[in-house]
Amino acid sequence: MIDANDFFAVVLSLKVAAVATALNVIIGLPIAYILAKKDFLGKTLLEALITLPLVLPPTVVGFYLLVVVGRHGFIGSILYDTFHVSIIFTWYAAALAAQVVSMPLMVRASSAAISSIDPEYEDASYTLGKSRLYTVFKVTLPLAKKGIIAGTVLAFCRALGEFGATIMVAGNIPGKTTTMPIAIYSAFYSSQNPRLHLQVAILTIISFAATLIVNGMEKKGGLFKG
Amino acid sequence: MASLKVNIKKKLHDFHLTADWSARGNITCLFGYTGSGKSLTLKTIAGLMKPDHGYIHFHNTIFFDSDRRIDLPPQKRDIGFVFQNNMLFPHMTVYQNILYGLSGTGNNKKKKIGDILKIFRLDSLENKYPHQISGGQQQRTAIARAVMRGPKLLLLDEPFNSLDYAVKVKMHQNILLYREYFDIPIILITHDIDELRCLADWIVLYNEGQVEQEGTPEEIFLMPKNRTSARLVATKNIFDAEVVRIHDGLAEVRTERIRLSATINDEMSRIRTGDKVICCIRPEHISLAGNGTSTESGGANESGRINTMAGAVVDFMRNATSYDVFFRIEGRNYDLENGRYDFELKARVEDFVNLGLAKGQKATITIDKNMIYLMKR
Repeated sequence: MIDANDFFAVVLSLKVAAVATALNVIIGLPIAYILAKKDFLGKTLLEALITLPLVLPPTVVGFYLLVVVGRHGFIGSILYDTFHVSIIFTWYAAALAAQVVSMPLMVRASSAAISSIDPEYEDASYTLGKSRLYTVFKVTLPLAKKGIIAGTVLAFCRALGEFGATIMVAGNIPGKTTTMPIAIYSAFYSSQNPRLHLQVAILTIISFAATLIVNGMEKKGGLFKG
Repeated sequence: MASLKVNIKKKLHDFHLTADWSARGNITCLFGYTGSGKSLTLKTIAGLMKPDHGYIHFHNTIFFDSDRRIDLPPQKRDIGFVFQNNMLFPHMTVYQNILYGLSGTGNNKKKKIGDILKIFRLDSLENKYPHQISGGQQQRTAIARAVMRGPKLLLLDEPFNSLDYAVKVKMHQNILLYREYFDIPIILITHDIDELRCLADWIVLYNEGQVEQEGTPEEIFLMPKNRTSARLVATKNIFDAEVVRIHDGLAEVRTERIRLSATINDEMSRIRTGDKVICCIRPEHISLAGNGTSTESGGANESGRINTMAGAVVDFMRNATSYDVFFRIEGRNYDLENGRYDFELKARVEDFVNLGLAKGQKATITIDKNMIYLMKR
């Protein structure tokens, strides 16, 4: 009933979403912190740029990614000329696409959570002799935890469901780059209903569970109250 | 010897702060209305805000000096800071909060925190989170956290503001206790005059971003430098008068309706006959007696008769421990209906009740001649 390619699509999608989420935490969290705490020239521009993938059609994002990391793109060409590698039509490209498209959700939620913390908590930490970095990890991030986790989970779901940009940069190679949303699309057009239904069910369950967790966290009482 | 010397200028949005004062004694109080620049000053002392210009010295340490380009970060200033809203870390227990600032390990640390918990009566609360304990307990925890590292200077930014009256009084006692125990200078911000009276060894009066006056409580309360200072510390009875006679160490002053004699103290030695002066009398230095009983209560000596005036209670207001009484002296334009009064005084509740006083009741008042302060206009 479930064939190897379908199983691969589920595992690949989870892997892509996990890598995208890890990149979101590593790249997105510092950006969120800086946006929340610092004022600098061009901040509004940066905020707009970071939000852009959220509002652009994913195919347009995919197009820009090709311009950047495609074999003739300005980063892609360097990679190809020096290492003879291209990430296009590999699952790395899928992860990159998922990350770029999902990062705005993560950054916006985290940034809002961080800037809502009274800066006097951090002042208190400084007067107690603690450095800025120590304060970030012991005070700021723990206090912004709920918003950051909520943003991360939402971004994970967005990455899991990413379709448009992914098909532009990673294509649809069964057993290699076909993620769940793409597998659903293929199954639909080749009228393979059982495969279609299974994939749809898996994606729905994961996304619904994640939304439940996020909403539960935003309520004070926890997951199963209120 | 001043332990802390502040001389700074700072512009913040539309607000200009100029502060130049020195701390003296154990507890220095910064007193003034909300928005007068007290908190901003305290934050510059802590290193949480940077002055535009000037210097802040503490003993031999330079916290800040714009000319020498020194600006010590808050981590290196060896201070304890208690915020108005305590700013206890909500995700940590009382124990973790207090421990937060402490570095080092082992038994020494354990013993130290044990001592602190005992002194601040937090032993039974150590595993509770800040939102699980009362306001007074939260502020005790905040102070415990601030002193845990053994700071050389303790900065308190209106720490008792949000507390209930009874808890506040208890906290004042605690502060006096801790002062003995920790023996470090304390800078305390307050806009509560009772707190000022109770805790201050040295007072710095703030008004609209300027330091109006600094001095001992006696100086500030009894010898304000100007009308603004007098008003800030609730002198209440401030009026223009003219000196008509000087004799036997007394200055006799007159207004259209009132004649008073004031003992000439050192501060007032320059006052001469004919001077136009501002007369300051604190409400608690006016005593109240029933109608026609003033001579009995004052005894036979002449100081008992001095500054005794008949009149009536125009209005009164009940306080927690006293009554504010508004009093009109008999004489020209003596009309109780229009609500005008000559003096505001503080009467003990039992006096007010025993004298059977009420609105419109006749009574006499006596003003202590040693407690009338005259400054030249």
